[in-house]
Amino acid sequence: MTFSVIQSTPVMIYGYSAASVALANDLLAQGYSITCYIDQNAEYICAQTTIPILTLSQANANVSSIVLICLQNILQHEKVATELYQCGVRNVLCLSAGHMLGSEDARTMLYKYRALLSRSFSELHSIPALERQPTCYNPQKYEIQECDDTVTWLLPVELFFTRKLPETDAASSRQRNVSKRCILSCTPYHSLFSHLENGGDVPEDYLDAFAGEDTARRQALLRDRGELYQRFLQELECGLGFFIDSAPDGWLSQGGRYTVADGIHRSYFLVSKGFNRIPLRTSRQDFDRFMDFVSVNAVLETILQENKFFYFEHPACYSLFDRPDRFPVSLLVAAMQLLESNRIELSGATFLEADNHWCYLARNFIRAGVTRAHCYCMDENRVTAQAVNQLFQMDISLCNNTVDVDILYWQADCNMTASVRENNFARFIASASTAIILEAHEDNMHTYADYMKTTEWELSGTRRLLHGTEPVIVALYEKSTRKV
Amino acid sequence: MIIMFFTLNAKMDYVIYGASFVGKAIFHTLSENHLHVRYFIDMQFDKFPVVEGLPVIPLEQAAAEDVHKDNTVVIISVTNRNEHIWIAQYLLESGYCNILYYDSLCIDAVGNRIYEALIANQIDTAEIPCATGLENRTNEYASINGDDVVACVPVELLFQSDSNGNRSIFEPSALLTCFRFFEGRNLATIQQSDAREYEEARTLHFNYSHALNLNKYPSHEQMPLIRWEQNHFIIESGLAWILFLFAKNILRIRCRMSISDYEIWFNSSMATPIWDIITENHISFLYTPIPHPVFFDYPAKRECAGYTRLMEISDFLYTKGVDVRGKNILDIGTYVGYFAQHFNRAGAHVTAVEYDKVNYDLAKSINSLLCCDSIELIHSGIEQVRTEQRYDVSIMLTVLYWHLHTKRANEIMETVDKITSKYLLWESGDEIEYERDWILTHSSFTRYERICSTFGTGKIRELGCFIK
Repeated sequence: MTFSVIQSTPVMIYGYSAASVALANDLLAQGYSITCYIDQNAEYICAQTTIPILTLSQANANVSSIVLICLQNILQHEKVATELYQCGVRNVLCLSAGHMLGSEDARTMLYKYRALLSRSFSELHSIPALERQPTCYNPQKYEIQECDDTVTWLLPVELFFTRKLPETDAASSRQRNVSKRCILSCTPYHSLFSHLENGGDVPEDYLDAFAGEDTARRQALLRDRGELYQRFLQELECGLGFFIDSAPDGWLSQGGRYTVADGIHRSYFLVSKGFNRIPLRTSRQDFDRFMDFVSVNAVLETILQENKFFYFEHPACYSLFDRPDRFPVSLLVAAMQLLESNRIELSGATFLEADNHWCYLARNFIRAGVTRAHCYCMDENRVTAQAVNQLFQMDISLCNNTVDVDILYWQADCNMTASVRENNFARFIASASTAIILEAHEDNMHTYADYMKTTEWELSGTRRLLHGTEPVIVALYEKSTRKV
Repeated sequence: MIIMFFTLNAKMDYVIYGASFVGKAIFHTLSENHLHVRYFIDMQFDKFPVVEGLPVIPLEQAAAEDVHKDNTVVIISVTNRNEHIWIAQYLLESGYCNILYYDSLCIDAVGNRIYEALIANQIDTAEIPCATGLENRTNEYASINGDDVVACVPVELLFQSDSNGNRSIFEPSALLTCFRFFEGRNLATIQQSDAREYEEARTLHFNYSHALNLNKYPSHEQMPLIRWEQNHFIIESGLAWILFLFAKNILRIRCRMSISDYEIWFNSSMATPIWDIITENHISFLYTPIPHPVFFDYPAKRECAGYTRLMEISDFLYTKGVDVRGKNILDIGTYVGYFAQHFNRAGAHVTAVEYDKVNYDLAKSINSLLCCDSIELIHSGIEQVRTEQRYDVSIMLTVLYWHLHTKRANEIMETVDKITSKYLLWESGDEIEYERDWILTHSSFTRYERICSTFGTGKIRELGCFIK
């Protein structure tokens, strides 16, 4: 079913604001007719306008009405559209969160809304009348399979922790807390799957860890892994069925971590194919505890109220409107792997996150073993950041100044200038004692790298990756004294 | 269907398929547990007629002479577990039904647990289902829905149609290059010249990733629609989704097609001669896949995972501006014709030579199965090719190294040099530098460009191109 916005059919505009008045004026100028504005605060609005401002119940909207949603808070669009749908209104033009699911109709809706914003009114035909379900958070929809007392569902990859990697740890000469290793920081698996996926370097660290020094054993293992990879690929070609049916078992630990005993190859294969959510089987009790209806609803409500959306590692976040540049998983992977390959111990360390990721890294560093995490957070972001931290019962101090820590994560969002250096950067790097992880757009990175050469910090490694649409560099610096 | 079971117990007799070190280890485990082993089956029976004091006989002899098959358990001890199911199939066809092997297509199979225990020197007496023949897994790769079939289609067969005609999806397009960039490949080389196209590709990639992550594959109506044409499929809709999966190196993609197109493509009677050759010659795997549903589960060593040689070669030819349509291409040592078939589908005039009779027969049958009969397939060495003929591109992958230190290498190179007018695509043996330098000094090729390192059949090799 589709509808069209044409001159002969009157439309309603949802939301009374300067933007909606401007839109109405433009529509009127082009010969369109406006029935009314709909606004939940209609009774309190005193405005001199020829178009009436009504509440939804007063507007008497019905199945033949056409409503254009004009709210600045785009997170509210879906909610309002659903409310209208429940009142029988089908013909609604809005920004739909549904377009993230790849539906053709939802994408068309997005293009039509863009046409509305750019005042290309002649393109407002054949707009799909989308069916809508109440967007209320429903944990059950994340269950993929249920069997007896277990549930299989898709776990955010940041929460996937291995119990131990005996061979890897035996190969390493240092002591480490093996109970806290995120799958993302398991560098041997990363090098194995990079090799299988793209050819090139032989995954020496993987072979060192699992096959020792015997050449025949190493070759046999590599061949075997190649066959395993081929097998997984064949299964993936038929869908996720195999990975769901043979999902690894995990149990919930502190901070939302899930500890998994086996199935690392299966799971890392999916990670290497770009999956950020991994099938996992857990007890019904753990699932319910994690999906905690009351707390998650409170967080979602806070996000909608504050109109501050950012990614957080919970299935409730999946259906929210988001963008590629709000997925910081690749940054976390780069940071974790740089620390891992340079053998910087997180256990017992302190950490300061100074970026726009709003505690995402701090939470994940706590899961990886740091004892205390801080986040440099702007005042307007505090409420939502705190709500998400509370969801995972994490105590992260939100600060607006430097704090002395072992590891600092710094996101550079512009070129290094004298002002940046004096006001921020120099102060922050002085507060770190062991390592600095520096994230910058590749075009800006050299300005920071040049400055770092003048300090006591030495470059230990870099990763180039894509964050959103932009290529960024994540670099690890260590104090020269530590490296000696 | 009634499923019969057997167990590992002293009432049964045992035969071990494969008399190598794994077979011997299984023999010792069985003997220590008082389980009676009667003989070994091994193709190399003439080299090792007796192992551990027991006779080693070929399968044909065992099948003909053993009259106690019902009371015999055959344990397959071949090291490569991917071959087990095929050996089990031969054994089943030879009259054995109690077969213990590792089923790599179903890793949760009961037999696998018992097999693993046996390898670990333990006897598990749980019931094992008797072999009932390999299920035709083709059903898993295709399903009928209304007037359409949704089937897994090898990427080699997928072509897109544009103003210049049909071109394989292997030929890099702007969208594919962007998707590969988002997958982390070629991070150093992406050109963001068309910002809008890049942005749209990123949005598509993000949306598709999001859907994939939520296990939301396209519904039947949204599944890519394809149409059969001569020997390949033309993508009618859903190109972006196909390229998205292809950029993830997924090599078979579910697509929607008409039932009649599926029947033309499937053409299963043409597969029979191929099976006959495989069975007759005891071939348990191929080095390159046969892009046809009947052979989806037949093991291939190369070109079946990761960034394949064909992708590398396609990228290389694209960067050189070589459009293979209408070009003369020579595939030297074509093996079963995988590369020749690809370029034939892409519209080139392909000549393929294969010296080995079995491989030649296989290539011929596969060409027929895949409707690539227009390939000129020659059963001979390269020396027999008409020297007055000229080829724009010659392909010589893992061929020369077999003859590198013999006089034949000179003869081969002389001919290749004479008939190749521009490009020689080459893959080395394990003496990479020597072979490369040798070709440069024994031919009129003036330049060499490395494409990538490759790993195949236990050797680190190099793929490159000699240019005149």
